[in-house]
Amino acid sequence: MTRAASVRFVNVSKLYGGVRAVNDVSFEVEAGTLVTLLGPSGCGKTTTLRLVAGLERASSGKIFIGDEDVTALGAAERDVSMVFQSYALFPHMNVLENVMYGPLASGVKQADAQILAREKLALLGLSGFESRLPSELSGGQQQRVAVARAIVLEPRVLLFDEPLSNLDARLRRKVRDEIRELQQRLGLTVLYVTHDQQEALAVSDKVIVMDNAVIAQEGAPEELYERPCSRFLADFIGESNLIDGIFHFEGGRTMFVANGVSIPVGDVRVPPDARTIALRPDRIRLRKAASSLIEVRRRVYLGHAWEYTLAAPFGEILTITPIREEALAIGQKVELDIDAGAAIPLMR
Amino acid sequence: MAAAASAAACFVFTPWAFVGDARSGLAWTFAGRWLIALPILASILAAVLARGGYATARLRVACAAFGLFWLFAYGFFPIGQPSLALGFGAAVVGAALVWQGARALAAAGAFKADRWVATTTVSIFAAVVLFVLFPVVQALLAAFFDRTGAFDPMLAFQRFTARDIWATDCFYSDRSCGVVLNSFLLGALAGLLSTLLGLAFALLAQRGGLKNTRIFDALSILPIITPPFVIAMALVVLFGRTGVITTLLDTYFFIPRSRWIYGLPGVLIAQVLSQTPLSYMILRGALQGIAPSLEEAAQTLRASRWRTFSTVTWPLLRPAVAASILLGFVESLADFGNPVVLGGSFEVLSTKIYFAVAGAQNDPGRAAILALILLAMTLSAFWTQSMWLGKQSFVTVTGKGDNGLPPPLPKNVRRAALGVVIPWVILTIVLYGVIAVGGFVTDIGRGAMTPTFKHFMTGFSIESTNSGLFFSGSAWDSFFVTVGVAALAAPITTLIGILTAYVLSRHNFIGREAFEFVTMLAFAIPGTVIGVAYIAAFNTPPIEIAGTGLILVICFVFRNMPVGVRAGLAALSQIDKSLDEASTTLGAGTGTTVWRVILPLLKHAIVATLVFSFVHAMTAVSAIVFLVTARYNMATAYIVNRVDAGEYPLAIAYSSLLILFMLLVVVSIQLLVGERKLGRRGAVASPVTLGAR
Repeated sequence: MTRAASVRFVNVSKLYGGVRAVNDVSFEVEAGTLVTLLGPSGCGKTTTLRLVAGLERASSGKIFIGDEDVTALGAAERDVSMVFQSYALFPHMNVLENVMYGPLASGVKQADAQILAREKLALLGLSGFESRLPSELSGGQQQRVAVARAIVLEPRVLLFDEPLSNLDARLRRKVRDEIRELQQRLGLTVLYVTHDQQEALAVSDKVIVMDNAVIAQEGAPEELYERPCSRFLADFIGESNLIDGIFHFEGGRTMFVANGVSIPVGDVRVPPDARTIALRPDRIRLRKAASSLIEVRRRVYLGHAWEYTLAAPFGEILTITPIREEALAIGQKVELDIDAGAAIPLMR
Repeated sequence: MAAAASAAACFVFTPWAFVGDARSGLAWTFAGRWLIALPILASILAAVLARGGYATARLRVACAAFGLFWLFAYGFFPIGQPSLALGFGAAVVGAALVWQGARALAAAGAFKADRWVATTTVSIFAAVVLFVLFPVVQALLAAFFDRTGAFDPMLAFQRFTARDIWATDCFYSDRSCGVVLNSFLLGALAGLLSTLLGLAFALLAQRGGLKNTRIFDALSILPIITPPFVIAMALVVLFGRTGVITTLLDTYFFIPRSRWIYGLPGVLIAQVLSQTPLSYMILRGALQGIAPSLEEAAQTLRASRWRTFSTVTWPLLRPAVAASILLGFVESLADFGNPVVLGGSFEVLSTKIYFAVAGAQNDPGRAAILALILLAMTLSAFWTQSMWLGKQSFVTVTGKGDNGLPPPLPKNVRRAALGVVIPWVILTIVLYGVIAVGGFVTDIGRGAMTPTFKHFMTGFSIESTNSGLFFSGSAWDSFFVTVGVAALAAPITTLIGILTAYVLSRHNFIGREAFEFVTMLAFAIPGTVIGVAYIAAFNTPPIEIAGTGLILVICFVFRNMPVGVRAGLAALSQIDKSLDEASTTLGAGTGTTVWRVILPLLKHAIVATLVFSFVHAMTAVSAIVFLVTARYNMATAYIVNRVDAGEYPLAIAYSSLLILFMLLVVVSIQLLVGERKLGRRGAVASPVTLGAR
């Protein structure tokens, strides 16, 4: 599909009464890529998506789809489709009628609309379900009907609002991969809202993390995971132990000292005012050391790993150790070994 | 453009006035009334300006507003000329101006620039202002003017402080109390008693462990299709001086005959009988809304049945109980049929208003002051309800399947409920039995039980003549008018009501609160007040439609519209907004969305509104008694007149026929529409219709 277009926000704000739901946000979604808007609930991500759809009007700023300024256009006039969280399938129409709705509303003839609809239903593996009512379909099937209905008009931009939240965990992974595959195959521009960081990392070309109505950080998934730029991001994407202290250089080794405990953090580039490190639980190895100030407080069996909660003078630390390693007893004193480059220095 | 063109065509070719003179607007213009042409000129100017788009939008709004203003201003004050009743031509010009004004408002950015929403909202608003606000305000203003039309606030004060309105004599002497106290007492008692009974029914139906509660549902539908005074008639037949039961008591138990049924006791019983089902429906709905899991939780916390009931079920039910009492109060205030048949010397506001206008007094000023008091009472009841209950509605069942079994009632509660309900059910069955039998015997009111078809022959005989069937019965005219008016009013009511509900639930715009207020206003205005208002406002130019069938249709449309609004709002709250949004993102405009997505999903609310507005139109009395004429008589007015004349058998025969007819209509529509098949999401609660009659 060559109709895919970019989306560009230029200093867009949205106010509800006096409350800023979206505050001076600028970003770009390149044509043919999948970008996720990620953030905790109430961060403004869904409002941003609805601004693209035209279901909300920007209070200030400009929105472009391709080269066209669509800021003043209503939802019906924008070449954008949306897959809703609840799917929003019309309960009184069968699957075929649901998918034909868009073409018919934009003046396509009945017969042609039917051809278009059947084509998209086949693409999503829904042939044979044409005359079912939405209530007679499983959650996963309803989801695919919603996708078929959204892509039947070959929109320039396709929007997903938390499309997996109504599916069970097992199905979620499958549908997630299907959406990504469809996007790649058809070369669609997709903007995708989710609050699940794993989902975001798994499907995106680029992730935009929002917090408190502004963009906290944007970048490729691995960039966000490896180099979060704030405490919020280190905590929000993946799990992190956040430890306050100071960096200390000792004979060519970098140490991080927190409450009298020195942690060797290997080779990292330390910004001058860094006062915090983030440690990923799976990047910490434990070594028995009788004289250590850190000891095992809790042990949880996860199947593929042990999860230890350690008590340290500066607080608790969570670690994950592969199951093949020897189990540590509660009360065992341990020292931390940090993988090279795994400690992430942060501003406080 | 099209609007201005059709307006111009009607201005040139169709009669401007309502009756009589058939001259067109253009003809009148050249007959010396050149000012009559200003509205159409405004319309044409607005159409020309429409090419300017956004730039001229505000100017066009002003144009349309001026045109409308002038249309009515000139209608009221036709400088130096006799005034004309506005007719077809004027109506089309007015409609065109409203249409153009709405579109211009949308073009100026109002209503989020949505032309469909703008046109719908402004049109409905204009209609409600014209047919609810205007007549009511005008009629109430009559309170401040004397018979010659001169402004006289002192007279208003005298009318207001009249003894027969506020007297409290009945507490300490034999003399009767004023109407305000009477009405208040009756309303409070009726609200309280019908709620208690309704509660007993609801508890038994939902928690009583009864196998078959169908009889409750059957009994609850009866009052909806029963004209309000029919119960009163049946009560007279049973308990009047020569009534069946009175005679039995006199003969076998030597209890002397008396007229106790006439007055407060009789009216109260009749009102409680007709209101209990409404209470039942409200309270049953509230009981269904209490998640059984809450009561199960209480039980797992070792609460006994009684403790569960008194600490969980009852507190959750309380808001609905209060709502039911208040609605019972309002219904009682608005009721006209029962007090007029059974009141005797016990006067209430609604009957007093009627006799102030219809009787020998013919004093519109007095009627207006009484209407003002009645309106104040009902409005403050509604106001109390929304202030007091607005914040505390407990809906504990959410969309998700919330399983669990409600616990059975505590034994003593169940026994008490059964003790109240069983005699009541028997009384109801006996009363309807009287109505069913009464038409077929010579005179049930005097105990003459010889079977006869005489009454039906008088009212409903059909003769076969050379020129086909001839409906010679005396009741046929009113029957046909009633059915025709009801059938005409029902679809219009539904359309306006449902569209209003859609606009209110889905769109936000400046003036939304005002729109909501005027559309729900008709709900709070008692029928007698509307009747008085219509007769006062529409009896003279510029809108002179009193005495026509049109005024009956209009009256029903705007009285029953709130029922449609409520049903629509209830159903729309079940439809997720994402459906509208999905439709919009797929490129459909608002009109298409409403037509293809919203209305199909509202099918059941639409049918319910159609049925209810049809039935309400057939059973209404209060507003109608003011508006009927010999040519356009309604069934209910006809029956009330028969009762007045003491012709009970004919009245009963006609009533039973009406009830049967409506039952037939309701059942056949139910069969026609059939069961819903939309899965779990589509389960829309059937609307509880509550309206001041």
